[in-house]
Amino acid sequence: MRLFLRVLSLMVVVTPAVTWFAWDGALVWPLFGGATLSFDVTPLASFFLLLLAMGAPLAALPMLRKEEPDWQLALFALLVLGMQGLLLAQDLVGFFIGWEIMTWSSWLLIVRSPRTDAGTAASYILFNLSAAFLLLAGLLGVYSLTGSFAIQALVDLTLAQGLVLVLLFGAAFLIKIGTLPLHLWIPRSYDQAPEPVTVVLSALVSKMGVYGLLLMLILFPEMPGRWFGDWLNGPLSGYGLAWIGVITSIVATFKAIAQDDMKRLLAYSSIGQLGYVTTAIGVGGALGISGALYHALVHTLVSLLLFISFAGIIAQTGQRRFNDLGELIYRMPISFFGVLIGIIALAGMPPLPGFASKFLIFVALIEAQWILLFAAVILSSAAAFLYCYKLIYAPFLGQANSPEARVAREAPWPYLIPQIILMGMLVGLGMFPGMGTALADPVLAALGLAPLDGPSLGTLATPYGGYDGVTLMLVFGIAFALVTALFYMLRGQLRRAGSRQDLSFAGEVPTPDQPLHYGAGMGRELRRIPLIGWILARSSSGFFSGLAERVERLAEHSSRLYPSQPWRWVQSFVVVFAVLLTWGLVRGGGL
Amino acid sequence: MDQILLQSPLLTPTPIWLIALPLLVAFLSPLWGRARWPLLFGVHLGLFALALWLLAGVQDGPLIETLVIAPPLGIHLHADAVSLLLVALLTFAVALVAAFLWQGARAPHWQSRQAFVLIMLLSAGCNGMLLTGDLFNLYVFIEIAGVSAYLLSALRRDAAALEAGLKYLIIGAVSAVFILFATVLTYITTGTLNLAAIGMAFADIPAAMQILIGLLLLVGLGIKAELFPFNVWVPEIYRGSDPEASALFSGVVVKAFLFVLFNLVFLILADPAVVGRWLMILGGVTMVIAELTALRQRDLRRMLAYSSLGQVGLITLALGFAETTVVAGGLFHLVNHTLAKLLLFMVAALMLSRASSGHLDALTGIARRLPLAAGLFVLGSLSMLGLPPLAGFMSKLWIMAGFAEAGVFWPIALILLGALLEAAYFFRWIALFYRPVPAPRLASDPVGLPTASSAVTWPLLVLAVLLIGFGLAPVLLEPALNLAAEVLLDRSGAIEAVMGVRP
Repeated sequence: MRLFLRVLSLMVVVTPAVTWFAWDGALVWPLFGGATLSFDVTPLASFFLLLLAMGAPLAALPMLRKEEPDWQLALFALLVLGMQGLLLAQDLVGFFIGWEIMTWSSWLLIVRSPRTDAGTAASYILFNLSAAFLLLAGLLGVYSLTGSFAIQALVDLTLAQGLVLVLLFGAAFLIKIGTLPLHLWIPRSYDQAPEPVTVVLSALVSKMGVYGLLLMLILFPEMPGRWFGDWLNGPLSGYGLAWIGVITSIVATFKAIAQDDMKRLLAYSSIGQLGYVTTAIGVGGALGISGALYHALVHTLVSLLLFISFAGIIAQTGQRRFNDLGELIYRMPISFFGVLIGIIALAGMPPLPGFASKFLIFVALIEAQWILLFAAVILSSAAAFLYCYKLIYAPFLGQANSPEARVAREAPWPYLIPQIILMGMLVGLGMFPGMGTALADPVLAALGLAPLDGPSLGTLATPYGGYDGVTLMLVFGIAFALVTALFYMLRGQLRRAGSRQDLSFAGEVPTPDQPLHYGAGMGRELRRIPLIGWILARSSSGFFSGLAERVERLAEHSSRLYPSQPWRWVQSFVVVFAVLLTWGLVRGGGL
Repeated sequence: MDQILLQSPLLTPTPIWLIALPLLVAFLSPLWGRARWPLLFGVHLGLFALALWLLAGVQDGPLIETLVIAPPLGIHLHADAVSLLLVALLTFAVALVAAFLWQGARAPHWQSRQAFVLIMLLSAGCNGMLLTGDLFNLYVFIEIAGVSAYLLSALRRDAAALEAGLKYLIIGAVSAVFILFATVLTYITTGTLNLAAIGMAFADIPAAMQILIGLLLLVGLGIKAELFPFNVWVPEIYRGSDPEASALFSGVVVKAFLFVLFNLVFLILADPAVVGRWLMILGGVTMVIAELTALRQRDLRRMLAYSSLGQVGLITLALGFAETTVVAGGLFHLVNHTLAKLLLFMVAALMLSRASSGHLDALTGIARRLPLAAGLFVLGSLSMLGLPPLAGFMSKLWIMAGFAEAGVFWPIALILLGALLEAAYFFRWIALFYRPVPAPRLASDPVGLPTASSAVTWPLLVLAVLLIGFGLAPVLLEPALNLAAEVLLDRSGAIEAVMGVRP
């Protein structure tokens, strides 16, 4: 039975890949009232289906370990089915069904973890269900206008109709992506979810919000141009969205730097990266959309890689705080390379594809002449180096700060296999950056934009210049090989310290319990920088917890409406009856 | 419209059996001995089949069965597409509860003969309420169903149950007084008790009297149909009764009263729009207040009671709109609510048999001991909240799509707000069920209780399959629901079938 369930779940997990390769013909399923659900692969859906097809089996591997409970894989299979359903749906009801299956199955995955507290469970489901119900309201609005649930271009809307619908859909998807100030549910749920589940949430589930946001370009084709005109060279309606994205990424980046917990840091980093995607969608145009898709692809690979690597570290050491780790480079070398490749791609440094996607976003911003936004994006990507540094330094270098970190062994194969595959994919994509734009081109064509049409897979080409990935990778590869070779040749002649405690600073000798790496306490000083300190001290959690408190208090008042003594019941009936009767008689007229 | 008048030959399948058979079997209860529970199950399964068979025969017009003298002077049963649909639902629900009690109830009070007789009478009363075409008979059936419900809620005979039973008796008596007054006043002013005849004559009586009768009926039926502000008694009663009994109250009795209320509104009033709008508001208020109050509940049965009120509010909101699509959706939701509430109350019964009480703390971590029951609770709640792919989603979508089509948006906003509040408490309970608890709390189960894997779960699994099935394929029910909605709204057709003239 158990084995059967596992095999069945695994089969479901690979279905996105099967669908991506072998889908032909649409599937139609009758609903009520003549409405139908139909499923098919569109170019946009195909791109995100590819992410799912790559990510789902890799994320499933760590769940196959004996230590992981049975229900995890089964619920994950359900989650994959939901995501696949929403991608394939050709109508809003099918989209919503997939969306909701995704919501509740991921919630069940989170809530069964022993670390999840009641507040996290509640915030996850309430934020996500609010998103879902906004979506439902939006799709009912579409239905009342067109009489059909089909996902199709809505033309000739009045400004009011258009704005209401755009706000409903937009708010729903922005909650899912986790832009400020609607991101609150993300850090705590990513932190408290079981490790293999966090991988899925960050890499795959969050991308569905991006898909939805892009779907709005299909639903409201008139939105970018006609409604408000342009601001400089870009659409004014996207300008606000771009700012939302940039502010999200700046704030999330600084919050990430200040985190002590690995998964919380990655959660904030994930919010920040999706902020770039939001910005790119706001810019629009061929470059912007292409950059958004490309960055979504890179972020999927990177967050799979990083979350799986850190899941391995947590599984082997039981520690999740930076200050409790260190020196793992000797004990977990493959994980070290996983994280190294991951942060290079995350930071957007050449030669890995994170550079290519950010390059596209930069170029799009320059094309739109939104220079202030461009500067803000640069600020946040530069600040991201700080937390990337923390990610590699604190767990792997310095000295081991806990007994577990001193005796840890390399992560087991279910963690290493996906890491190795993902490293290969990232390096490959870095070598052939044109592959990403080639994947995005059909989507651009479907959205009515001019495809980028790179000359070869090895080059990233934009109207404003590009680069040759193969050459770049060769240069970096050779440099890396040379430095490594030099290091190993000279290693014998370097003086080795007897112990990492063998040092002194300012006349003091560190004690063994003092964390000896630069990552320790990093971000503490950020609070002293004027604007950044202000940002870090603020949070929207007060607003939402206040709201929850108000509702609870309201509920307390309303429970007084239900007394327990029968005479009060009868009294209230008689009073209501008398009032209604008097009112009815005074008003006159029959029923 | 072809009218069928049958002279009730004793052994042909006619609607009267839906009422007579449970009564007969109940009165002969000393004969049945140990076979009581299989019999209760079998009889209701048979009635369910009969109701479906009759339902197939009323596609073109109602079946009028004269009992004594031909209507409007005599007494008759009025079986049409909507009342038979509800009869089928309610007999099916009673059959499932019977199966659950047969397999699972080990407590002495459920083993007694009284329980058997009371459930039979309850079922007879509810079927009578759905089928009768006569106002006074309606009152009689309400009393039969009511008295058996009071006694069922006191069946456990401990302090809490007796208190609940007594309170139920008081509130039931108050409701009966209002309904009886309305019946008397109607008879005085119209000179008839036949519903169709009243429907023709009601517009001619003085306006003030119309309002008085209408309000008396609203209060009397509103108490039993659990509409705010007449539903304040519900949480107390559900809290004190056994969950098995509450399943019958919420899944069966309330649904019968909702039908009676709306059937009267649509039959008697020439233009139900104004009253319908007020009922919609009443439904919306009922829903929002109940869902809000449920947030604070710390007892499983009370929480389910408030959730039940919320759903009744939603159904009232839909039926009050008096438009075919929305009413069909509302009837669909009525079906789904019965199925899901039965499931939840029966799961609650399983859980309460293991835990020391229905309090939040006592149930924390119960999923470890009852994994299947907890899973079924999740399924039932998802349907209750209206999350796909379960039946509750389809019916809510149906209702909201109907509202959207008509361009009326405030009910949609209310429904979504209600669903969000509902999610807040249902998901909190689920999170508690799955919370890991320290080992000492996981004491071994008392001996002799049915395990969750035993036969007791098959009624629950049937419900789960139905919830998933209707969620994936609502088309299965669509023709029946659309017809039922048309028939419910078709006043002149119903009157013509009895009186022979169009109003």
